[in-house]
Amino acid sequence: MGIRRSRKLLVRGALLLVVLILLGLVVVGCVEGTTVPKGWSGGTIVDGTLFIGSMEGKLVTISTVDGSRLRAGALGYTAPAAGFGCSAPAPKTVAIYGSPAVSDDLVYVGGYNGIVSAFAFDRDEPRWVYPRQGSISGNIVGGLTVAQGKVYFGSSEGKVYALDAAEGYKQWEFETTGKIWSTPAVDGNTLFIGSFDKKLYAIDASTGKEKWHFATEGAIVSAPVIYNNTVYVGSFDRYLYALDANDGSLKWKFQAENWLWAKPVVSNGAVYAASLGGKVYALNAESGDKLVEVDLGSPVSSNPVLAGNSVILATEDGVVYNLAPDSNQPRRLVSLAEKVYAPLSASQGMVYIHSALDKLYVVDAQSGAKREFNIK
Amino acid sequence: MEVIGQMWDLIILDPMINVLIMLSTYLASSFGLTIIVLTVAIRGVMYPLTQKQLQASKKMQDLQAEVAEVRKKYAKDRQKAAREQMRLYKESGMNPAGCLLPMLIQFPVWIALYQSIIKVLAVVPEDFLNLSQHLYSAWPSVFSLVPLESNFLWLDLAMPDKFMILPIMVGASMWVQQKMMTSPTADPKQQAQSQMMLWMMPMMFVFLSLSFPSGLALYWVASNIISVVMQYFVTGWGGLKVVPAGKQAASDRKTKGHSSRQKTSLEASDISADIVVSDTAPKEGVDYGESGDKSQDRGGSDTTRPGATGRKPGGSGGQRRKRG
Repeated sequence: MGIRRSRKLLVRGALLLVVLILLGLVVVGCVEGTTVPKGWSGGTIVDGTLFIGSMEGKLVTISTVDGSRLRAGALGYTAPAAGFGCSAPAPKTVAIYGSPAVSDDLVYVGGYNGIVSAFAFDRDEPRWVYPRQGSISGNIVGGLTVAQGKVYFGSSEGKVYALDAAEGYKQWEFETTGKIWSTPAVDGNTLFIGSFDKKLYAIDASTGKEKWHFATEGAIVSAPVIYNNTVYVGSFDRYLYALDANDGSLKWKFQAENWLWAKPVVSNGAVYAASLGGKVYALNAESGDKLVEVDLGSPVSSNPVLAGNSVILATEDGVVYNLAPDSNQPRRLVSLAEKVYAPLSASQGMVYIHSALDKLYVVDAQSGAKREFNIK
Repeated sequence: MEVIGQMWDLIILDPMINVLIMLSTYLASSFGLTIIVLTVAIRGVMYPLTQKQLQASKKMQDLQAEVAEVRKKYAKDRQKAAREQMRLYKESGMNPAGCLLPMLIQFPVWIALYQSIIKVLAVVPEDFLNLSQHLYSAWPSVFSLVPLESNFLWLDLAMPDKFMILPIMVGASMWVQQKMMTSPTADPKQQAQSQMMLWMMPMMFVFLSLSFPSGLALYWVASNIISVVMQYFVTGWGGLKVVPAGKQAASDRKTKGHSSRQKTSLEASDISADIVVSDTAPKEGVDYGESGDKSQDRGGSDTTRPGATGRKPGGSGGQRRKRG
């Protein structure tokens, strides 16, 4: 082959290599980089009815008696962002991360598009949305909480909102200095919520004024739990904190080996905290002394749930465990063979699990028997 | 495939992610500054390879005129053209593949840095969960440092630059870099290729910068600026240098003149090997033989062709001239 021809081939080869690599970067960027948000809503069960956000961007209502799908209300869609490809969110569906909240006659759900929708139990169209036009400037990742006639939620713009539960107008907002992905917890007249600014805030639920805050060393994504006048919350500094609910003073803290993402569970004087390292810790709720440490071998990001006296957990690999209170040893119930990120919910001895493939499984908390409910 | 992915994570990606996060500790937790500093550090470590690549490119450019002439002269004799071209390369110490190999070695590092930036930015919750699996438990502080501050100057590093300033900077810096790498040439084909590369790459990266998080575009700008600086110290301004028209014309004439002389001598050699005529002044004391023709044997000449005169052996530097 002549030198001229080989040189031409070399130059063409170099150009082709550059183009292929750039295309590869685009593919890699789109596949492994900025992920399209899909959501992982858990279910909320009231009087034999389960409300859950599907990955199709709908609030789905299901009868827990026979698993029949009663209705599905769409949350609308996110308009494509200006720009190309990889950084734009999914054009036609709204990702729903938080579990719906339920009041006397309305079901509330927040979407990643920054809009809260309130549905009547028997309607597919929302009675109201907030804001009335457009959306808030951040995303809603945590769940909603209803208390004292108000709907509370946090957003990725760092604000906590309180809306009138019946009409949906804003009553107050409270601003932090970091994203809020946590679900608020309300106890009495105090709202507790964590922020990416590494602080746990206690806010007057009526007025939106700060009562106190506690600074940790890491971002707080986990939802707090209040038990016996103590607030338990996990942080990205890998500590589980127990704080006095009145003034935020530290009672004790416990260090895990990885991020504490899932909401802790308190039962029978013990607090159960699961980490993204796959370990579950059972701690004395008063002193923080470790009772048991169990390695489940896979990260736990979904909120565990109490079913009877047992703590039910699901790992990201889709294995469901029953942690008996007497032994605090895990008993494997079933493997779903699908990823699980969504919070678990339970009612009458049955655990409801929303998998990453948008399927809803119902697992008996004692026997591990499994059924599938259709939410699509 | 899964094993390859795990190896990639273990050897390249996870170290890059954790270093990126730890480095931010010393840079006021600023992710933007961290991207710039890490880019400088990695380019510094890769400098020996980059230097080789640049030097190889420059040598190739320097030889372009001579190579083009050789190809023209021996258009009918490809073997001869190949030999002459290889001789040129050998004499200059240049390996045609010398440009590509250093670049190929650097690619995994660039890809890892790109992936690290994307993962650490962790815009959506799913990305965040994934990030937790890449953090070193032996470095406890990395857990607390994430998420890094994604605001830098006017940018949200997790989102494309809405003011389009950074994409323009990416394109402009890449254009400058490309321009420095090109050298003026009279060959229309070479010119067309150079022009294509000069504009195609910058435009492509501007397009990508409009889509990707601005943290990545920031990395590209930093990397391009470093490349420009490195290139300046290795090869000078290159094609970016503006040469006055008069000087350029003189340079072109000189190049053409030299090429013409070569053409004349090589044509003579091509057609006939009858008589060797020196293009330098005849040396005193040299015996030119009975025929009276002034000749010097260049060595390796073909004296067996028909019409060839006898000549005395020895001598050097001669050119051949047709008899008569």
